[in-house]
Amino acid sequence: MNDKFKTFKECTKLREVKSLMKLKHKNIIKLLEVILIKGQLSLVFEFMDQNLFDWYKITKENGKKIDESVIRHVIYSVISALAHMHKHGYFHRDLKPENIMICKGNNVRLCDFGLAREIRSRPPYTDYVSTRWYRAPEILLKSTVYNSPVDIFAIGCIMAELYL
Amino acid sequence: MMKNYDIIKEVGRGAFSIVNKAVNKKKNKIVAIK
Repeated sequence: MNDKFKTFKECTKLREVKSLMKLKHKNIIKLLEVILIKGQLSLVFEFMDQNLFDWYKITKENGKKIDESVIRHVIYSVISALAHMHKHGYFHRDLKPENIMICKGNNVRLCDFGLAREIRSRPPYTDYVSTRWYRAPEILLKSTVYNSPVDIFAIGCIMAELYL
Repeated sequence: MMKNYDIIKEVGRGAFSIVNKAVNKKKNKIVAIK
């Protein structure tokens, strides 16, 4: 029984598993393996070098501007992934640069799926989350009927950020 | 199952998970484990 309870407790993550198994796309992170040992769930993903946030921070610290063709490529990749998700009835809800992985050759993958609704009020991940928002106005205003357009709002914010 | 993987280092922390870089010993392939 104990084990069952533990599995149930992991259900938000299982939702992540479920969506990732359905969503196969070149710009969506590949889930390679799911391991459950003694109620402990581990998800094995393909490895990506960096998330978009670290990547552009480094670029900007070097005093470089991000090339427009690169921005276009990154945004196009994310939007293709989103289009695929939305078409299959999922939306991300937590789109931000940390959840967009990038590796050499500018391969872009969307990751971190299936965050449960109540996780919107995030744990004290400090000033970062509280100062930078990718959340659409309807979520900020605590609407309960928001939907996939919130992802589009977020990608708009991210695109603007890359241009800065 | 986890015996197949060697953890290399922690690479990130999410709201409710830690992401580790690991290597699949059988396939000699780098992966991320959440």
